[in-house]
Amino acid sequence: MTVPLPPPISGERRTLLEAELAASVGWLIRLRWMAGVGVLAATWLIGAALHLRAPAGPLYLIGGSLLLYNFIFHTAERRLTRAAAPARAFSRLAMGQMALDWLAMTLLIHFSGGIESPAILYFIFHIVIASIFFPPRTAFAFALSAAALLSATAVLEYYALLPHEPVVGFLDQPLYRNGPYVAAVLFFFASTGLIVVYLAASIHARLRRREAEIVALSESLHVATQQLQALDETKSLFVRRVTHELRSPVTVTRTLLRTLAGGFAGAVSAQQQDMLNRASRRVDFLQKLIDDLLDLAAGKADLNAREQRSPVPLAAAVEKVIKRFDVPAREKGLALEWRTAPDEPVLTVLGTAEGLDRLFDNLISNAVKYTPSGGRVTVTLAQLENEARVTIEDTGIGIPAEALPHLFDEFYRAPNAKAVENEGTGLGLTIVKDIVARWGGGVGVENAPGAGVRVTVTLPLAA
Amino acid sequence: MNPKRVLVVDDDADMRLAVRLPLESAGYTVIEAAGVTEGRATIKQIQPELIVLDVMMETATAGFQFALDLHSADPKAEFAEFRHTPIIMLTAIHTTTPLRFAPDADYLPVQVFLEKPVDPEKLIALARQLVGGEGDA
Repeated sequence: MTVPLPPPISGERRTLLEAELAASVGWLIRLRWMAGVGVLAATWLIGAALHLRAPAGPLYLIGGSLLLYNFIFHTAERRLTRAAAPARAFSRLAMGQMALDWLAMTLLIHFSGGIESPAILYFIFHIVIASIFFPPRTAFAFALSAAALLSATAVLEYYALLPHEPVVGFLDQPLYRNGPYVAAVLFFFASTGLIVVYLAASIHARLRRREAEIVALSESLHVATQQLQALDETKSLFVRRVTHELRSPVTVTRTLLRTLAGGFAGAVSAQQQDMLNRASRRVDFLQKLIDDLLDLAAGKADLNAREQRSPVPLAAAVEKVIKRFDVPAREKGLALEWRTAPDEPVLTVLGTAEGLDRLFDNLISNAVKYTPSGGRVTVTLAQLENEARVTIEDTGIGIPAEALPHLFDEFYRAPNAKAVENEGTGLGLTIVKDIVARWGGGVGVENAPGAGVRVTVTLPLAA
Repeated sequence: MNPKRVLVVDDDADMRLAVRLPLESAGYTVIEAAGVTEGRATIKQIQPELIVLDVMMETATAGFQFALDLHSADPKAEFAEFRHTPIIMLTAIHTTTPLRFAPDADYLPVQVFLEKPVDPEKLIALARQLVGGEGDA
């Protein structure tokens, strides 16, 4: 399995922004459908339900125009999206929509009573939307232009340069010629608009900062991932090289010692033979230590990738290991039993043949090693829903309570194990745990009832 | 009858020594080659009855490649005359090399694999099994 790398950040950031802007333009268009229908419905409602008299003709025209130009923008937006146009094109499209909206809003206010119109409040929505789309400076300009358009309407109506279009029946006393009222509404409208832009811009700026931090973070994560991958590759290569470099001399030394001890380089005295055997044992141990260490290192290096796992029949793998220990067990006077239901379907686990071999070799060799003559080692395979469970139970020396928490620690050996067998790497169970963890399984060690140890390995079945 | 000739191809001089002594003590004549390149160059002149071949030499699989060429099914192949000469391949047990081989008749027509460290008694037994006794010893 390889970790997929995120694409280069610089490109990513651009497309993110573009996608966001494009989505926002689409959102604005969807909102406008509602606005257009809303204007038409409200105009109808004013006359039919509220029995007020408004200049329905112009208002219907405004609603209809909204829908019409929204259709044009909708078509344009579709085309830009299909062409994967740059952010700039979407920005221009948004600007055009905003300008027409401003005009429509001003006309709507004019034809619903000018300064008396309750629709004035709706301008605030537009200002909020402008603050979302544009940088603060542009948004402030939009807010000021809204205030200017409203002021112009109010002032022109005040001086009767523009006819006042009231909603008849809405107000008892017309307010559009009430100087203080007009001034107050204009002042509060302008200040509300500016404050809204300020607030929205502040929130926006904070979000943008977060966004920049996240982009920077993901950028550094990307670099870190790459470095880790490079490191992992170097490590793997190193492990392979070290494997060969470390094992070769030991293997050759063992061969030389055997040749020597076998008398093939001349007769060997009893004392020389004894010393050669001692040397052989030490070198054999060194080989085991190197193998275990490299297994562990290779396993860790392969954690991310390289290990090619495939469905492996479990029973056959365990049986192979049991056969290997048949002779040593018999020589030691142990009963080595293999229990599996004969009608059991072939249980396969997702792993490697070598890994399974290492796994059960370590566990069964421990059981055989630490069970005294006359004892029994029982290996059982069973299926538990979608897991396979292998239990290795012996009647051996058991594990002292204080050693239990340390069993899987690297190089740890229980004191009673050392007493039985002086040499041991203390890496066997660490390797077992490493393999099992890699394959999504579990391993538990407990003292069996009576005497001895029970090791339980669970591995998920291959689907 | 002359003693049977064994060609030992291994780039490790110590390993060649450790393999040579038991074979010689069993009566075989041992000729060494310090790698596949030398083995290829001298095998026709040596005309061995048995070949002992390491795997990792010039490359990680140089030994396999040589074995493959020696036992090529093509009668016009360069080493066709050794098509039936048995080979003992020395393999390192339990390596983390991604390449793992097992005797496979279709792929590698090699007679026997012997795991390192080499047990001298086993080596002699294998040699006797493959090419018979120690010649006229």
